[in-house]
Amino acid sequence: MPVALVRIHIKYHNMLRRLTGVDMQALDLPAGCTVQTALEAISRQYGHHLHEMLFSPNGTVATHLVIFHNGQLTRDDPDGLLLSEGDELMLFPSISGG
Amino acid sequence: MFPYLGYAGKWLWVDLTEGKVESRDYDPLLAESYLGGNGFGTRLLWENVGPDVDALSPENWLIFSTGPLCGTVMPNPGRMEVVAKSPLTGIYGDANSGGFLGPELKFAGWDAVVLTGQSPAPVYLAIEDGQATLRDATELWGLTASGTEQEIRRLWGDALVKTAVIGPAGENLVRYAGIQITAQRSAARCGLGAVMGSKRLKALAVRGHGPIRIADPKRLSHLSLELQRRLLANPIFPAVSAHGTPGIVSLMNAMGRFPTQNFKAGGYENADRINADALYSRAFVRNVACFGCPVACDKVYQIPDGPFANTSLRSVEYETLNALGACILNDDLDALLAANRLCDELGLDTISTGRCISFAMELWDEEILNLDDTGGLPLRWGDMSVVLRLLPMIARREGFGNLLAEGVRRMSETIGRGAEQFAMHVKGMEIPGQDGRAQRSMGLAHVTSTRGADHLKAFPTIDETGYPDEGRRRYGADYLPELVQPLATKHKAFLVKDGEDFGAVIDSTGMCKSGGTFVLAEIYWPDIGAAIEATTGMSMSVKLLKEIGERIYNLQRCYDAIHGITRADDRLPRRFSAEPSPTGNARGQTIDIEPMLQEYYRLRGWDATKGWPTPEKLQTLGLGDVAACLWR
Ligand code: SF4
Repeated sequence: MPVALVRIHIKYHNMLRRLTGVDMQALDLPAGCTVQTALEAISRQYGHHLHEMLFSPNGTVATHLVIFHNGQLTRDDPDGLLLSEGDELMLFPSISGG
Repeated sequence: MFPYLGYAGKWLWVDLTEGKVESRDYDPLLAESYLGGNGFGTRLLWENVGPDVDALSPENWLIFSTGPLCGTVMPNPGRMEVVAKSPLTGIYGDANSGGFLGPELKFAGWDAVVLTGQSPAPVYLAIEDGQATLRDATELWGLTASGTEQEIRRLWGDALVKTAVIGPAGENLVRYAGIQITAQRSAARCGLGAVMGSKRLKALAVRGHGPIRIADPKRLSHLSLELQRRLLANPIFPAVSAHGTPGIVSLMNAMGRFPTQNFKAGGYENADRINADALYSRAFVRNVACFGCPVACDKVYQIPDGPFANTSLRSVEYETLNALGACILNDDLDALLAANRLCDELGLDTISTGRCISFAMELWDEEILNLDDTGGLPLRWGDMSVVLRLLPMIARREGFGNLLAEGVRRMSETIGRGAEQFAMHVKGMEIPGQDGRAQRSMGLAHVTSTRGADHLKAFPTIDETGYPDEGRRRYGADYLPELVQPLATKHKAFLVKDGEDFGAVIDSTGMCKSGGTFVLAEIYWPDIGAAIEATTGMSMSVKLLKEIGERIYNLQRCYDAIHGITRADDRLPRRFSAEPSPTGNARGQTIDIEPMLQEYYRLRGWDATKGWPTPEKLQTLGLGDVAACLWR
């Protein structure tokens, strides 16, 4: 039985853009996926430098990663945040200043 | 004999009216109570420049002041403070710059330079180690900032001379003229370039070769190494270092905190055309750093082709990308960079310049200004051909530029016809690139800053998007989660007060707020206390250091108070409370600063009716003399 997929979009900024080499990408993920699933997928795609920006050494999503889900800042548990067809994630390193 | 190391132990006193230059001993009591830099300037201003002195008169004092850590092996110790009464706001004024001038002044054997009076003809102050003389600057008058520096270097036959110069804007007393500092950095805010111009002082030029003696070199090196290691291990160090402050453009835009169209909105649909990634791919040449800085947030940029081909510049900051970008609805990055470079050459503060233009553009939009008012210039949003024409007109006070040269508050008073409802300033200072509707602590910080609307006095970075790790490490778990939530108001008075006190200390030491103390929140009270002890030999507990920070900040508030500032002036423009933000994470938000302000006065021990430090509070800070003057 084919797995149902949802298509989401991910927008990269700052160092994340440099590491991925793209500003935006579409990603097809199994229905019922979470933000955590999406981060794991791109981490596999782009290798360990990106992985270090996304995850802490203990495997949880890094607190120095800022995630916007459909334009809203989210600090919810990425493993509990379900993604639906057409959702957009924006990812930033959590820099401040100015 | 000055008892502390780390300091040069003397400062230069310059009477420009008489053409006299004298060496003065640094008062140990001043060092113990105010450290140096910002604190030194604040105390001298309080004692010598009263409310009856016009900021552009010879009686104003202009104070260039380094701190005890400036020029040492600490990370990013290249900062220098400039203090004077501000011609823009009429109250306490200061500006801070990185670069190389501060350390060079210390290598020359001076902690500070204090100038008063007015020279009969243009001069510059030449400092070569122990020798300081006033030299004729008639040939320099009228030159741009970089032209002045190049000419001084040519005259001296020394490419390593460090300078502080004014451009035409300072000469023509533009109320927000800045001072350009080697290399292409600015002590931009408060119009201190106009104070320099009013004194007919074109430049300071410094060359120094001496050492800075350290009380405990071993302890300081160990501490410095530990701090450098901590900075490099910080997970966001690579991002801060790679892009500097432009790195936050898109993030702040998504937060709804990126002022757009004169603060009508907090997000700009074309922000990605003027963000760090656009800047990097279009114009990045190489990384550069201020003196002794491992962060190297500064960059050299050059426009590769097109109408502005080969324009090169450095120190492109978030604030400028906002002021000459989103706030005037400009998404043409090349034109923005060309305008930035022009401001640097003319000696204009990019923040206030951009805000005067966005204010005028909104008035044009509202049909409060027309072609008769502007001398035939249409002020359409985003029209950079007009902006690039306006900048030299502002700097030379020509035509409509003469009105813009006065700053937003005076512009609104002169124009009338309802203009004041669009005038985005606090206490006469144009509001920088934050929106309190998206970050509550910033709204409060704009209001409580002693130099008028400003983000850098309190610099609340911890709740810009919410940094729980930094928040917990610095302030303790009890303050979480609200402390790090941008839209929460709880604990924000505490955050702002602590930032103001810590910031006053940092600006009094010669360290940088972007290099580990606020942006990378690694270096905090205990580290600075230890660094001061190791450098100077002065014993410095955290308690003492906090008291110094409070003393400096309270004295600045008292200075404002004797200039008529009260609680009634502690308010944001109406737009922030009456018009919900239409964009980003802040959509639908307004800001009510009142509860935070009440809490702030309480934490500060200030009289909540007048908004002044109480006599009792001043007594505890050793400011009994100030209390007697303020509350008489
Ligand atoms: S962090 Fe940036 S502004 Fe601060 S000293 Fe370093 S290079 Fe200069």
